[in-house]
Amino acid sequence: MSPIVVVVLAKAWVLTMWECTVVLHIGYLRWTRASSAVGSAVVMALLAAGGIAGLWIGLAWAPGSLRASAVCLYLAGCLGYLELRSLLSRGYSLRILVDVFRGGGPVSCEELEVLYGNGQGLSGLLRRRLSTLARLRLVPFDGLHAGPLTPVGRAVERVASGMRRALRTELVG
Amino acid sequence: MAVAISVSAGFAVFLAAHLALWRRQPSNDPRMGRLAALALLGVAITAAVHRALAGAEVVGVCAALWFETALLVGYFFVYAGLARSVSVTLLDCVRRAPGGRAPFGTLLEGYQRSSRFTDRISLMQRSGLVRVSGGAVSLTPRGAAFVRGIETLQRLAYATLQG
Repeated sequence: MSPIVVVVLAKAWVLTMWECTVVLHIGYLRWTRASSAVGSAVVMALLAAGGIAGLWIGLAWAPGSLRASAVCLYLAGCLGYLELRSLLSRGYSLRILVDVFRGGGPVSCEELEVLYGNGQGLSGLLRRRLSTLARLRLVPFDGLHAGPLTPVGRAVERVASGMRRALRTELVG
Repeated sequence: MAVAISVSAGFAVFLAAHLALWRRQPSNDPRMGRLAALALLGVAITAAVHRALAGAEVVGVCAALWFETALLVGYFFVYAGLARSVSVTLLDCVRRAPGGRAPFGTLLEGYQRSSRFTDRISLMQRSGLVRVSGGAVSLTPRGAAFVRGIETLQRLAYATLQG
């Protein structure tokens, strides 16, 4: 088989596995009406594991380096899909844009802060984020107080803040 | 071996350029376009180094480029989470709070006092998605088209925007 045909077939196989993963994941969400975030994560992990196995078996005829890189490319596609989902459901700037769009006309910044996220305001945004952090066991949150950080939360904070300092992007988020 | 060396070289150049540029010109703009240009530079270096080490062997070059692409996507994933994440900012605020425990009201007050909300609007204004006139924010035609596109994507992906 010519090397170009090998590469094209391998890429087509990666694309097919990625498409199957995305379609099955969205199908699961529609079927369950996206009722459980944990269920969604578990199903995505299972689908990704199935995709990796499918690629590894399906590309048994390909050279080892191409086979391994195809698996990495597939995982990158899955990460891209998850990042897009995260943006579509939790995008902060996107939410502001949608609020202005639904407002129908010019809205002041102060009004936007109050109207943010279907009228939940910035308080609703911070509560949602803290609840997610608590679910991930990074920081306890009882609705009135947050903290102290768990050991994992401390490690995540240290790495992320270190990267922000290194890239001098401290005034964000 | 050529694949490992070329991928390492491409990614190292990308990271070094990223760090140097971001440190030299600090900004609260995520500058994703510029980061994508640096990623392309990394990919080009990977291809060039692989070609220098192993010649124009198609399968090897593709393997190197796919590894490089995966690494770059992984980095973009981390960077997007790091650069603009409200959650990371909250973790930082909690760590700095006296006794490592912060009342929700204090976190909210700190957030409202900061320029984070208006910074986002300024960035969207610079991107041509909104216009601000007399303190009022409205969408440009481009912003309205962008929101419509996002709503279509949300329907397709069965995602609900919470913000």
